[in-house]
Amino acid sequence: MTMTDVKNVIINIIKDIAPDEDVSTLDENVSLREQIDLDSMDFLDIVMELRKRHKIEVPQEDYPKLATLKSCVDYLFPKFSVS
Amino acid sequence: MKKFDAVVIGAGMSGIACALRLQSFGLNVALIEKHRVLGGLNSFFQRVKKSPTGQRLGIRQFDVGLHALTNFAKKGSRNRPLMKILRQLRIPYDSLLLKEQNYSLIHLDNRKIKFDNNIETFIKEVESFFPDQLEGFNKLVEVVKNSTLDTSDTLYVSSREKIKEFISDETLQEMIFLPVFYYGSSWEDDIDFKQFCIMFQALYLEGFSRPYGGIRTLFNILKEKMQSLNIVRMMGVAVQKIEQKLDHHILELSNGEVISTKKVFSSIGYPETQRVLGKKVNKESVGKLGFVEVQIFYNDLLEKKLPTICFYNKTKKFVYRNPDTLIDTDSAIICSPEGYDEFEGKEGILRVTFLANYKLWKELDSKQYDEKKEYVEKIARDLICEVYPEHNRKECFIDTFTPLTVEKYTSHMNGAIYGATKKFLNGDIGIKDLFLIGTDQGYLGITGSILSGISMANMNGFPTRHNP
Repeated sequence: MTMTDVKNVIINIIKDIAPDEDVSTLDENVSLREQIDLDSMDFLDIVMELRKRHKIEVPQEDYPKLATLKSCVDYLFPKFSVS
Repeated sequence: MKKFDAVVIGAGMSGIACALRLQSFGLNVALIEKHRVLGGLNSFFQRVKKSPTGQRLGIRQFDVGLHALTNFAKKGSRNRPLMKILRQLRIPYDSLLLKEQNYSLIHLDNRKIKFDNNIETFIKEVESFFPDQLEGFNKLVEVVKNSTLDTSDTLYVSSREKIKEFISDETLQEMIFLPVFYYGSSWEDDIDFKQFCIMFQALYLEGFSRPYGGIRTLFNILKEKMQSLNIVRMMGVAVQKIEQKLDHHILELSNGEVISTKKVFSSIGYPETQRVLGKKVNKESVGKLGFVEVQIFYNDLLEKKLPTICFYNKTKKFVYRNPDTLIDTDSAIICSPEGYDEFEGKEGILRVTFLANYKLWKELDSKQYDEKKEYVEKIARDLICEVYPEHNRKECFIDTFTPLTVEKYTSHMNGAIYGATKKFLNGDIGIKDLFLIGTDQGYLGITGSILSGISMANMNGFPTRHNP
């Protein structure tokens, strides 16, 4: 999986959990929380979908690493390469 | 034996929302409903009117609950309860087809205050009719805006006492309480101040809307969601007994099946859940407030819109308690589904709701019961004439539900729509891996019940560890 694939995985998950948000305009360097009003429960949903769809585990102490789209990709890319 | 990670009892708003959340956690979920259709305290039905010879005279669709969806928010708003609910259930905003209210009215002892989905309207009314109360009212608005819900704070604070810090005029106090009690209090004549703030925000700061098509629109969305997620639904099946084991529960169902589940989420109420657990039901835990509602259909739609909802009280003092007569004729809610931006019906409807005494209704024989329903219908008609003197449409269909109807179709003892005063904010009733959701958990109204199902699933159903 390429970095772009990983980014698309995350975007697709956000699209599903936040159907009203326009994900095409997301700035990958700005915090997701700021851009689309995600609260802590929504972040849990992202984690849950990663687990369900891709069998990827994100331990709670790593949640801050999901802050921006770019930090998500940086953090998750190695995990995707292993699986 | 079928095994589940979680079983949700009751397919009303809270049960469906809870099941959807649990399913999104990757759990294997079953939703069990006694009736063959979705719905609980918020629901829908149809009535066929027949002539004495059995000829069909007409058929009409009714909504139960949903005078209005509270907590209105415009598309794209942030940090609002309605948005959180939609996000959590993954429902696109536009699919709800929300239509905003026209305006609503608080009518107490011939004083009238208008409000709508912009708090400025309410503030202007206070400025015009209670100028010396304006400063206090603005302070109250600020306090509500800054209030946050802390579920660990269980200290009861009387709103009747607390409001005196802001509002000294007793008439204005009563007027503020009228809608708040009716739409949000399971207490008699008072409400906890935390709950008051939630309701004040839901009713006055955010306001009312209605899905085009009524409650069915909402249920259809939820039904499609459940179908697409393959949630196991057992319809027409009642849970008769719950047996607690070491790390699971065994449920005996009315169709003879026995199933096993790790967790149970029950929306059937606290005393009702105690009953299926085989425990003694404490009378105090059964709610006291029952309601009667008369729904009248008219041949024509309104030319000039009436208030969306009128909260009416005849006298200066608003009494919100179980009446010692069949219904309390001193106060009522008159709700007009036509009073929104758009309305789907070809006929007009008015719904009139009164506080009612369950016990007195229960004592009637079937002939008296029908007579008393007619008596209540007459009172409803008279009230409409009194409150809206210009209203003179031709009636074409009428139906009335009582606390007995509510009890029959929802299984809530005494038909107590808002449950008992004691709430279980974390869902815990002292049984391991069994949680209360819905009206006895803590939040009232449609938005409240959906929020209840969501928050209990999140708090008590989220799998903390993953066992591959």
